[in-house]
Amino acid sequence: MGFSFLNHTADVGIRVWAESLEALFEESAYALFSLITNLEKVTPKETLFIALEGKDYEELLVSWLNELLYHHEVKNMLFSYFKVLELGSSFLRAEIKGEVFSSEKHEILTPVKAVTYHNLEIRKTGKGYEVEIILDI
Amino acid sequence: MSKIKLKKIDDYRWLIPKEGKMRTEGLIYASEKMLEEIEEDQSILQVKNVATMPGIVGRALAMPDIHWGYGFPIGGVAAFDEEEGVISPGGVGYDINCGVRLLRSNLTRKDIEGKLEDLVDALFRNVPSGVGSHRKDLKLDKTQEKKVLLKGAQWAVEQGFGKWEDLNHIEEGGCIKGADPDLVSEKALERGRAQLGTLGSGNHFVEIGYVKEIFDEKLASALGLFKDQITITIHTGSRGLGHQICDDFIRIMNKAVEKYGIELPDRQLCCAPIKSPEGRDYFAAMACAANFAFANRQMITHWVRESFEEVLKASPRALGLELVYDVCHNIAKFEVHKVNGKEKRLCVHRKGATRAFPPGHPELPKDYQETGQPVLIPGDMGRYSYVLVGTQRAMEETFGSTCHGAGRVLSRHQAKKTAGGRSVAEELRKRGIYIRAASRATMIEEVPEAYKDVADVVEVVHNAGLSKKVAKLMPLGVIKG
Repeated sequence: MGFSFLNHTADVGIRVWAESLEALFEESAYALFSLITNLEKVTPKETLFIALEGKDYEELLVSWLNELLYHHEVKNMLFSYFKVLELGSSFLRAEIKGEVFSSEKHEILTPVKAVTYHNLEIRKTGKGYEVEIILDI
Repeated sequence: MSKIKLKKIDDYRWLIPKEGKMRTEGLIYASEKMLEEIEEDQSILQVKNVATMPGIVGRALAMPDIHWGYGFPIGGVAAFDEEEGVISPGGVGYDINCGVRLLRSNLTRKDIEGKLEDLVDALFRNVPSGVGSHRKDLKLDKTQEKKVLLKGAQWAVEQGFGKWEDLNHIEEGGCIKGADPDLVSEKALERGRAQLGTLGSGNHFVEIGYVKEIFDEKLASALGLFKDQITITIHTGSRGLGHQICDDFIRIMNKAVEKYGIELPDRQLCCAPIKSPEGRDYFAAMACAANFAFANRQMITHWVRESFEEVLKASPRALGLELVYDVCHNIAKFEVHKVNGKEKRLCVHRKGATRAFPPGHPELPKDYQETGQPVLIPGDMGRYSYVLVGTQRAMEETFGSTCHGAGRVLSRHQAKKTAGGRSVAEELRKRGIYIRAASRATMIEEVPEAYKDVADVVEVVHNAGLSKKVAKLMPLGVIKG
């Protein structure tokens, strides 16, 4: 399980790999928020439950990440804990934890506008799954 | 990836010949030198992809500030037939009606000597910038917000933000018709409610500058610009509301693509026939986001005026902070263009491109009938910006469009590597530019060398005849998110 950032001129790309689809979703969320802020400083003290539907795993992945951005924005929160509770090809249930942004404690590193579907494809590899996600910054 | 062969038409025009599933040719406006950089990423392939979309009219176009986007390239222009064509959220982008507004003034550099820092500090205080910040005195309920989406900058003026005359100098009068707030999701409304009247983060800014150079005296004076004059540039868009609407409709369009049997090379290009329910709904929701952005820039304009009045202790009349113009650079619009000698209504997508209508165009206000539409091209935060006007040639070749900015050359990651340890604010200060940013990290990502020199981009559109240079502005003070 892990992630790396890709060189994309205008925006940012993340390559994520994991042993299972659940872990791939969790790691993608972790990658997204570690781009936004230093996650070591985000205490997982408030919990939110997420439920989503989608037409396939790709759509669910983008919806999941955009859902996190939505909560980040409207609740002014940062998240550092992501747990997928249930994942099917058309639905996802998850638990996330984080805290309200405080300018004294946290720094916004790269604000993200949205997660895109650009060339998005979850690939099966010998060790599990991998995906490249392009973000609109 | 194999290199795509381009055919040189002249020093600024490069043709992508039709092949494979392309329905039309592609055309890139660039100098030979810029083309080398453009060829390094996938942006040319993205122009080719756009050329495969149903109902595309004329060529798939790319402006000289083209760079690798998602789906459509940034700097892309594509027009679609109203009857047979498609509309695509990816052809507009997430930041719907991200745009630029320029204010002129009665002030010269001398008038603000010794006051610049106070002015920038006042702007930083009065215009909410960065994550989570908003005006404490602004509370919006859902009914009010829907009015914003319906009326755009007109709503803002009705609430006391600015003057009716301002509306004359905004693209579409600050309100795109056909907006339907009932098609906007609860989530989008919720994101918008807290973010109306905020600058946002990333590359958005308010900049105090001055007119450094005039290229055309007659045009400049018709636009109310003169040498050493203080100007203010505002760059922001529809914030989380626009991002959410784009995301909502990409999901809808992903289904529509299957429903209407549209074949696409990239999922991010997803679209629907313009006249289908999905296509119509997207346009009506997109118009809401566009109107939100117009209102946003109008409110910020009001706070800019208040900041100047407060610091310089001068009356609005003495300051003369008037709108030169306000342009969108991420938008889809219905416009009439001549195609093979016949007038046709088209849906023109501009993603990182600016409308550049010529003199005499009926959409332009009276005072710009002779000059053509003002076009505002911001550079990066340490360099100059440009004011241009639209031309007849743009009308004939690019559906009345031109470039929108500098365009990045370094990824954000590379920018961090180059500038990570430096004090960008200190460096700019030595060059006479005072900057206040909510986040040090964004400032580093936006470091000047991360961008193409906007002068090169403007030179191409000027020499290619797509717009005409009027004036060059130099930054003095900037606030950023």
